[in-house]
Amino acid sequence: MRKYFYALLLGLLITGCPARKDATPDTTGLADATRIVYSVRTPGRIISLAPALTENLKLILPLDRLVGRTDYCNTPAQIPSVGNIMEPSIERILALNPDIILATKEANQPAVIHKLRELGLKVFVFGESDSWKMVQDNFLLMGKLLGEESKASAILSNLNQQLSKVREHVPVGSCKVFIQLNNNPLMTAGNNTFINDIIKHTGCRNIAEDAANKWPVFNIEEVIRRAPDLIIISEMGEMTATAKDMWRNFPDIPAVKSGRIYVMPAELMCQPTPDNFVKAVSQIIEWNTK
Amino acid sequence: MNRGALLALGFLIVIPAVALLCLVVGGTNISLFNMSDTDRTIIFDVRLPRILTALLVGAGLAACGCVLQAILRNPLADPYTLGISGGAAVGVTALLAIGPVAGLVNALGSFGLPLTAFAGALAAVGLVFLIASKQRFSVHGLILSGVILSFIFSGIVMLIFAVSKPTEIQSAMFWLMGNLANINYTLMLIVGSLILTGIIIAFILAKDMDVMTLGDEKAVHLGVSPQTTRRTLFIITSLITGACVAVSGIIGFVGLMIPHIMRLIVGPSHRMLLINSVLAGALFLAVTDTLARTIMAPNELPVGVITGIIGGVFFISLLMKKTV
Amino acid sequence: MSMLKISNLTCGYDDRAVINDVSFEVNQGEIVGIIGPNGSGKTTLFRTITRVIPQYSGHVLYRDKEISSWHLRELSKEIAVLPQFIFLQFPFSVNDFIALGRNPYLGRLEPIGTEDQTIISQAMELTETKRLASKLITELSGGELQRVYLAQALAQQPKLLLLDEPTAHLDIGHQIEILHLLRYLNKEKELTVVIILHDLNLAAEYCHRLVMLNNGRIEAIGSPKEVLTFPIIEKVYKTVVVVKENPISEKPYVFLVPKDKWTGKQKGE
Repeated sequence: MRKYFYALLLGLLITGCPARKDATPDTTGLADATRIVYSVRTPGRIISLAPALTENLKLILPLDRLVGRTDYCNTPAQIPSVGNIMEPSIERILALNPDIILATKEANQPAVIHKLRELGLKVFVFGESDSWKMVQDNFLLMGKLLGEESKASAILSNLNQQLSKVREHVPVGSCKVFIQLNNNPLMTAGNNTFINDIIKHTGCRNIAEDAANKWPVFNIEEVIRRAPDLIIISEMGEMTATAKDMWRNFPDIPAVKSGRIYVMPAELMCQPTPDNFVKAVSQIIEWNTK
Repeated sequence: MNRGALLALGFLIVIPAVALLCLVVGGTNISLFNMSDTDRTIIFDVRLPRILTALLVGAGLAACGCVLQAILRNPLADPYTLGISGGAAVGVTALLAIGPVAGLVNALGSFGLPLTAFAGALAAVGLVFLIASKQRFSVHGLILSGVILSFIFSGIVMLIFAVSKPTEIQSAMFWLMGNLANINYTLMLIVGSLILTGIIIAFILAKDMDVMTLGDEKAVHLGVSPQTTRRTLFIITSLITGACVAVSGIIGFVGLMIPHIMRLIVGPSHRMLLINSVLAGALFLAVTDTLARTIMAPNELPVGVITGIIGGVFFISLLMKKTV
Repeated sequence: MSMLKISNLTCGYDDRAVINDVSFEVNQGEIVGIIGPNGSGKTTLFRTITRVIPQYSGHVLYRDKEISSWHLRELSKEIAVLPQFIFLQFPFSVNDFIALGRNPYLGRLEPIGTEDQTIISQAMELTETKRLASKLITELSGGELQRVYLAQALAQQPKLLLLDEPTAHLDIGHQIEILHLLRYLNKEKELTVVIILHDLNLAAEYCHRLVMLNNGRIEAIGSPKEVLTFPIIEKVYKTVVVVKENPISEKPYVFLVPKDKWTGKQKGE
């Protein structure tokens, strides 16, 4: 058992959670989308293989065209699930007769995608959404794919307006933020992540920005030393209270001293949609101005 | 004074010095004469309990390895041979991945994880005890039941992983690889007293362990009941290992390697062997834990990785020179 | 005084009896030899006497007290055993190994005292193992190992010494040495000895009495002259022998008869 874990650790150390590096060249350019769009027209039956994609989809379309999703996607129960994100059931996907399957480079396994393509199914793989720009690009791409380009565009310009408005209220002065994604281990978000870009847009600085990888496990010493003004905990169910309590052991941290430890719904920070982005930014700015 | 006593004395001098060094070394090095408030918090609230716990856990694991190698008459036994780690793993994985009983976890707070680990460990111990007693606590019976249960527990852990979210899996795996990141003084005191009590009892039985290594038959001839001794020491090592695993996850290699190396240096007489193993184990884990939190700062590495790598390399170099 | 009294003893492994209804007595100051073919139950007998395996029925009395009612520790101050196999997993020094013989006398936390050290020294002198003191037991030859085992047993200061084929892997010279030492200990230190031997002539030479086992039962008990007669030997060992007297010691001496010299009658024609 130990050997298995040591091997897996190597993988995790390199990539962090939950991303996995894909060695194949990028197949998610605009060309891909156009090719598929021309061949499928407006896809009627859609399967989503990642919760983030489902959320993005919900912004563009009513859910009647979504015929399949994963166990973890947040949809009405009557939409059937094809299993979990790592190993969805190929059989069930086939049985649902989709026109197009949406997947992500980060969450879904290449082996699964290749298998589906081998069976003649159309799979579109979205790249990372590690910044506001990338989120918007992917959103537009999805709009094009689903034949709702103009709608997607409109949503984005609306959200950008909201964003500018909210950013007018960014308070003066520096503000350091520590994002806590997990309690045991103490995991945070580093550079080149959705979360990091959110923080950037709030006028604050992510104290883990300089870390070597995307999802560093931080030594609590570093958090003490970097003295964040704000601690934001990603909601983790029953463990959230424990996580919050843990900070009370270190009352010298500015955020703890001033009581500025907040809990944010996990989806806002971990499911990259343009809507979540703006919501998260506004929330953090609001907390910062208190 | 014999070699063992000299070495033990050496350890007793070196350990406080090294511990002090570990206190000041880290992501940033702290000077003792110019401490800011932040530095003070880091030293007393973060590093000190951690180093003390590392000393205790290292001592405990090394002691268990030493004892098990004696009563199982196998120089390659380690604290996890008898299935304890599997039980603890099931407990912790279930807590982290399936979703805990809300009220229970809230009430336990930061003690939730250690408690489920300890409970899982005890459950495993209980099962092994039951099976082994049917085999009249023979060496064979103990090892077999331990190994089989380990496999079963591994399977259960894999099963839980298969139905869990990636973040939950990663949490569980980080714990399984062993780390001393979540320590507080209360936990340290509870666990520390268990470990120290266990070590003292083991030391009292050191002569019996010597006799046990001669075989069950010879043990009887020399007035030692092999079944009783094995049973007692099995319980003691289970409690120590359970305590260690509860607070630090599954840190490998220390329990196997330290007693083995010490035996090559001070010989198999268990009085000196136990003392030196305990001291060496404490020193080793304190140093490797400091490395774990320093070499990739601000990132935190699981200490089990460091003990594995250092231990493995050291062991291989030893094998190259001597027959072990 | 009776040291060991075996009455109607039946014992064995896994509910299968190897020794059946065996009775004999060993008195203080005797050297009693247990002989018999392979598989006759000699080692099993020893194991029951030393409480390594349980008895099914019958009694084993040491100094008139049931062996099971002796405290294990007290018993190990009285009886010392040289079994055929000792695990040599860990490299104890010869000195430390022999010192383990003092285990029954020392409290758990008591270190080896001067008196203990003296006894260990004496044991080493008697067995001529002093010069091996700092060697590791894993480095010793067969003969040296036997003597070290014996030294450990003597360190227990036993009143009764049980030896299971101590001469099995020794050359003639070492065989004589060990048996001579036993005879010395028996005469000068009042040590009662029960010894399993496969060599009938050694048994005849050094034992006061012999117990011949066959298929788990006693075939004959008595002095070597009484037990080592050719009818008994031929019946038990299923081979032809000639028994004469050793001109030097006047003890019986068993001569082998190779099969090609057997008469037709002896071959069973």
